[in-house]
Formats: sequence, C-alpha cells, structure tokens
Amino acid sequence: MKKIFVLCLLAVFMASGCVSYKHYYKLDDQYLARRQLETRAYETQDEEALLVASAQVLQDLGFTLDESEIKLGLITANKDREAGSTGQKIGMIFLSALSGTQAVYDVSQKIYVTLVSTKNHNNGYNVRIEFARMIWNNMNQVRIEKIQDEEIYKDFFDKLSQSVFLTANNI
Amino acid sequence: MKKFLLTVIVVLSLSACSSTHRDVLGTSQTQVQMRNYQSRSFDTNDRTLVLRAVVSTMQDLGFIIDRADERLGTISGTSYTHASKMTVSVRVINKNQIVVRANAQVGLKPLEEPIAYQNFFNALGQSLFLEAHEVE
Repeated sequence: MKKIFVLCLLAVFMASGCVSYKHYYKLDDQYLARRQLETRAYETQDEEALLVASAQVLQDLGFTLDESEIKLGLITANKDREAGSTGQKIGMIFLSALSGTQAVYDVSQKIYVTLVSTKNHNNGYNVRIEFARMIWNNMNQVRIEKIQDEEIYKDFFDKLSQSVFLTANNI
Repeated sequence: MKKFLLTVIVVLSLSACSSTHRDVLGTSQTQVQMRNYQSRSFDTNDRTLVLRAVVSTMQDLGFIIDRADERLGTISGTSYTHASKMTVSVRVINKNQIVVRANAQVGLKPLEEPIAYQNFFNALGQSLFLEAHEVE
C-alpha cells in the first residue's frame, strides 16, 4: 500500500514537472477565419471619428472604458453582468436536490472587449473587435472563455455602422 | 523547549523573508539569458507599424488587450486561449532596427519556455512581413 502511494506521489510530481508550453502562442489554422469574423471595413479616412463612434456604441452597450490609445487605434472596455438565467439556476438546484449533490451554477461574469482600428488597403479603416469573459459560479470558481458567437460580432458591427452614421450627424 | 520554539520561529521568519525576496526579485535564469529568448530585433524604423503589428498579432493569438502606451511602447494583454498574461515592449535601438521584447506568466509562474516566445515572434514576423533576428 505504502509503495503504491509513493509511486502515485512520484507520478504526480513527474507529471506536474512535465507541463509543456511549447505549443503556446502558435498561430492555429483558424486564425484568419477568426480575424475575418472579428473585422469589418469602414469607408472613412477619419480614424479618430471612427474610434469616437466606437466608444459611443460601447457606451450604448453598457461597457465602461478601461483604456484608450488613439495613436494605436485602441479601446479596451469591460462590464459586469449576472451570468446564467434564473431558469437555469432553478433547474440546477432542482437536479442537485434530486441527486443529493450541491448545485453548481454561474453567478456573475465580467465581459472584456478590445477594439482596434487599422488602416486598410482601400483607403479606409478596419475595425477589429474581440469579446471574452470571466465567469464565476456559486462555488467562487472562475473560468475564462473567448466569445466566438458569429451573431454577436455581426450585431456589434451593425450597431457600429449605425453609430458611425449617428455620430457623423451629431446625434 | 522554549529555545527550540524560538529557533523554529526565527528559522520560519527567515525563510519567509527569503521566499518573499525570491517571489519579488527572483528568476531562475540570468537577465542576459532571459532577454536573449524574450527579445527579437526587426529591420525597420517604423515604431508605430511594429506596435500596431504587436496588437494585431496578440489578437490573432487570442489575447484581449488590457492596456497600451504608445509613448512608452508597451502593450499588455491576457490570453483567453492559453490562460496567460503578456507584456510586450517595443524600442528603437538604432536608425534601422527595433527590438521587441515579450514576457509572459502562466497562472502563478513566469513563462520560461523559449519555444513559446519563438512562436510569438514567428507570428509577429509573419504579421510584419519581416524576419525576426536574435538579439546579441
């Protein structure tokens, strides 16, 4: 028994010493597709106006701005929101009551956004946006994820197009 | 017995001091070793182009940019693919060369895998259409 325990302990130590980071920061096959999803071109030569319109739409969506660096065309923002619907929570509590385990459900989330403008080859500007979030559950555990829902990106850019128009007309 | 307890307390407090010192200022490699694999030079004099390429590369790699300072030439971000944090600095070293330096931490540890940095600089070189040179 003691031998097995020692062997297990050794295996755990060896495994923890063998974490490899060699695959870190390697471009994967999907990066161009992701870039396309996250980017839209705007026919304007005024980068500053485009960033002002972008900040406006982020405010429309309830984000608070963290950082902005006009010279790099960058805006970062975040917002805190509740996570998971009430229905989901009730469902989880009900299920765990049946199985006699403790219910685990999402409680809150912090949504992060990075928005960057860059000059494109058609004499206009591209806007690239990325959404990610941290989610906390009722056990105070946290997980992080990049938001990849196509609809979210499409809706954002539609709102930005509208904001470019509204801001240009001082609305 | 009292002496023993006192000794234990002194040893424990001393080891706490050395541990704090290691946490704040300690590294497992020399400054030269680290700078070597964390830095690459690029043959260009366009600092803004490099800074923008760093932002774009970090986005391609799944980073969310936390902050950036054009004047200081630094960009920091959090990777949501690899659960890590990275700061990249860009500085002009002469008329034709710019050095980019990156340092990252994964969870509670510094990232000390040279190949991971090599991957980052490869991606950056691809974005800049320039070859990354090792810094002497």
